[in-house]
Amino acid sequence: MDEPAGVDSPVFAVKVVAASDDIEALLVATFEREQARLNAFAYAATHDTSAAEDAVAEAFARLVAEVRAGRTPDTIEAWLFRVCGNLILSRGRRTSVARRALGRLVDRGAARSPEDAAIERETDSELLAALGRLGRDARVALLLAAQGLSAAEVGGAIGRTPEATRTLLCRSRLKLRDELAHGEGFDR
Amino acid sequence: MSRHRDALRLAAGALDGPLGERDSRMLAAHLETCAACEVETELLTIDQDRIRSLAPRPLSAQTRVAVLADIRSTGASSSTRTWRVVPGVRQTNWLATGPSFLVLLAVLVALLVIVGIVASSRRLPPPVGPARAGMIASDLSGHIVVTDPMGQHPVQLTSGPVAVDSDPTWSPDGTRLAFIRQDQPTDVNAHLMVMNADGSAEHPIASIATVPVVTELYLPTTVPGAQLARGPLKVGPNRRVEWLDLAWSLDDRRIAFTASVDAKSSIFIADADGSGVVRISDPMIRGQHPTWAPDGRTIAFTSTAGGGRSGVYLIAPDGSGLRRVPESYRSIDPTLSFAQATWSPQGDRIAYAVVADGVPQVHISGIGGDSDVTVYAEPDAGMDSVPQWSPDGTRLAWIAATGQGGSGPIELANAEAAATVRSLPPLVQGEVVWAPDGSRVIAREEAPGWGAYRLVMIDVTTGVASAMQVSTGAAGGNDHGDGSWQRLAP
Repeated sequence: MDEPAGVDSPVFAVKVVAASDDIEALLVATFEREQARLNAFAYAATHDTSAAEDAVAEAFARLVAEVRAGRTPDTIEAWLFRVCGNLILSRGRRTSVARRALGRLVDRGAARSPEDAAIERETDSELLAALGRLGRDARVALLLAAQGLSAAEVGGAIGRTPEATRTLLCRSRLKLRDELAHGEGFDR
Repeated sequence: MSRHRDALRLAAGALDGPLGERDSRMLAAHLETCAACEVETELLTIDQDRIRSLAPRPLSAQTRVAVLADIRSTGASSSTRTWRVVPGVRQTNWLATGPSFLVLLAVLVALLVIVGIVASSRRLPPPVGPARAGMIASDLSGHIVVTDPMGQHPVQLTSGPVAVDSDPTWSPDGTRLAFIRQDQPTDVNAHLMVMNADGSAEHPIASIATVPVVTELYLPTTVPGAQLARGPLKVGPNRRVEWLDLAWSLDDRRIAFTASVDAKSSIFIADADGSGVVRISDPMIRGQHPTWAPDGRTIAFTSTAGGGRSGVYLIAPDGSGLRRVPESYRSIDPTLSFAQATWSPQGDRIAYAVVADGVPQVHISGIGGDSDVTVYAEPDAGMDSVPQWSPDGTRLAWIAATGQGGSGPIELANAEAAATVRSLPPLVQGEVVWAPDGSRVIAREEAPGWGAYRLVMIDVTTGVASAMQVSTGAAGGNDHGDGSWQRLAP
């Protein structure tokens, strides 16, 4: 039977490095899998491309810190949406993330990227416009609930009790329905 | 409220969890008899599905790059951490391996010899860019104190009984400290001092009372016919004279600083060997906060003179080639208030803070002044802080004074890709000082119960803050000034 490797052994070192690489691979895979959906969520909540990307980037930055600190969330996807929603709300009154033109310092060429072009082809404009007529809390709550978060989880992200969150969600759904009905041309 | 509306309210609530028994029965009974509400209930569910199915929006290329860089850069530093010790794992008995142990011993001895040779050649860090974090210097209740890189085990380096020492600043090679010594109790003189890293060989390289050119600061040099007087500066209780903002040149041979007489300031350069002091900026510009370009050929400074003269200026160390960046500010607003400008480690950009229309902002400007952009604008913040580049030039950090007494969180921006601005939680003041390896920053925070300030160290990755040890015992008191971090060879 093989003896277990000591902490000074090359075998153990390889294992630790592999673990570190695994973490990076996990983070990269999570980013690639979730970034577009999370950005759609953030854009629907903020109606601001830059603010949405800032919130998404910061959510991933916090995820990186959590994972590196050995506190990997049980459900990374839900955690990302919850943190992103919380960031959007906590920054609601702030205009601090005003680096819209900073890109001019970095040579990115004049051509628009395929991603930018895709963003231009807005397919959810009606729904987004209706969401935009709701309050920010209501908007974020609906978006989080649509991702499958419970009222308690949504409440945790937006700083309300589960009961108050359910009330907010209920009113917001009806308000959204009214907004969409008006947009659809129905009298209610 | 109508029965229809009540039913829809219940239908909406059912999407977020089961209804009570009574509400469920009421809803079911209504939907059985009201086709319109049945449709509306279905639409509520469809709305939820539509939200969930919003078309994905891929992040922009620059944000992708920034986030992936965050992931990968953190991973690189993580992999260099100390190996973990796993409980229960047996240690290998090297002594039992016989010949292999002797081979390893020989290799170890050889390595020690090599290390000794390298150490004896006294490796120095590069003047810019990342380096190993050494000691942290600060002034504590009028004395210069250094701590280890973790902010612990303070040692007092100066102990002048009739002077106040402040503004310790490490030379880029990490071998010397410059600081200001103000004579006490009369405040009649101040000295620019230099000493070795261990506090030895302390000596003045310039003194206010013996630098004639300082007198030019308060003479009306632009008034026709005015005589330019030279001689010892007369200072006293009614004349406030200060030297501050020490900045070593990257070749460690000169120190630029701000000299201020009755709030009229100008930029001076002293030779670090004490051989001379020269003024390089016009007193009418009110220059302050000099910083050297990485190539040593240019000094940036800021002016809050008003009257259209405020701005960020560039000047050669010999006083020639004065120009202002960004040029766009010349004609826009003569009341702009500028804080210190700092060079990127690559020397191609300058970051600076400015208050425009009452809104504190952080800008990054290309040296040509044609690419000035806003990184940050926060109407609710004060801006007493200076944006500081990380040693690798990829990030900027400054303090957004949103709290009481000018305190606020440290804001962190990704300067390369402009993708992330996030706040580090503790409320701090003063200036942000990066660790030479870019892993941490230090700033001042108000010490609880003391009405004084202590230094706090913050991990920029995790945001975890820890207070540095605040007293040496010998120095007494707990009032720290801003810190300065020694650079060591990697």
